[in-house]
Amino acid sequence: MSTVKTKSIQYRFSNGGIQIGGDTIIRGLSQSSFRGPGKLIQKVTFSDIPTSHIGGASQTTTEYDFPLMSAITPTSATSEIRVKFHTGMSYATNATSAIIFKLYRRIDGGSWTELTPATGGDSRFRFGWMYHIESWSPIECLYSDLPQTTGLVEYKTTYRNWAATTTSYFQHLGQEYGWTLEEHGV
Amino acid sequence: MSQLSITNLSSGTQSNEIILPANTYLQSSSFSAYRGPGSIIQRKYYYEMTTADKSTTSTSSVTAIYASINPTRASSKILVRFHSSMAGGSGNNRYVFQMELYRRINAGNWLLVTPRAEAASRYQYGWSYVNRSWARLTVPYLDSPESDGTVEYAINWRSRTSGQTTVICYRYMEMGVELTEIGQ
Repeated sequence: MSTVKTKSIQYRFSNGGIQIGGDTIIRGLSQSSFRGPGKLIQKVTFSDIPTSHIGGASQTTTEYDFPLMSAITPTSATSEIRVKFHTGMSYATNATSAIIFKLYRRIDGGSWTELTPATGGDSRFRFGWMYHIESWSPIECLYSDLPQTTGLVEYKTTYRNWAATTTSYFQHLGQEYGWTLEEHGV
Repeated sequence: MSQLSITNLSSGTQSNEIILPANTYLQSSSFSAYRGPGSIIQRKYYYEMTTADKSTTSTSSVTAIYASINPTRASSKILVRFHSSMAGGSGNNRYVFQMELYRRINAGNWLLVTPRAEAASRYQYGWSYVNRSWARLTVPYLDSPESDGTVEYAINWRSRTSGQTTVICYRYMEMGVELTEIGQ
């Protein structure tokens, strides 16, 4: 096996491309081996299947955390983190029992920052990360974040009823819910 | 600093692999520097948060949001993914709305990619048919524009019944379009 040690690679001719020969692959042995602007640098997923309902009868407007959190360590402070959170089976029946989610982030174990505040008024993310009035169905939430750090970035989602105490299921037992975090080079 | 100027990289072993050892990484300085079949070449994201409901009562489709991308190769596929954090019928009504995806290339004519025939054919009811109260909405489409020019998309929707107010994104909530170029 031959080993080439170099700090920099550049194209030899003017088209800017270095061709990787047919059937040849470049394999990185470490996570996030390929980096650069526009590149999907890393992707991490977290999922869980709860053995009891998250939610049920007499849910209130008090905000609670989903038990499953997520975390990523960006390779660059300029990277964008695409945050995706999904439930497999959630339930809300009518306007009085609408459910909302909110997204929070913290860096290096610091304080939680509310990314999608639900003020109910004329301000960003009026009803939080999402507002849902539907019978059993999945929910997928997306957020584009710029944490501006190479430290440990953690996310959590909270849930609550919007306005009334009634039956709501934020996640049904025996169904999967979870996260996908993608670091994109900027 | 050592620098290698090359046009082709090929493996020196029968495994066809070129190994980047542990803790070594390739860092590019150009946008979309890694290209090839199956790879995500670039991603664009457009989002909007309006101060008024994005709504219509019309059965003629209107545009919710635009997005554009310049594919690096004409053979690439573009994954179009629209999302809204709160869409539905005004006043908690289950008014039906239908979505349509339009595309144009190099500022040419808009092409309806998901023609709504209202008959037994592809996209009979458009890109998506939504009959529900307020909820999140995500709609994907895998496109083959066959161009490396400027490819623009318009995300449209219409009320199925005239006079019924449908909202593609409630005020102060977010909607967006993610465009991902996938090498072929």
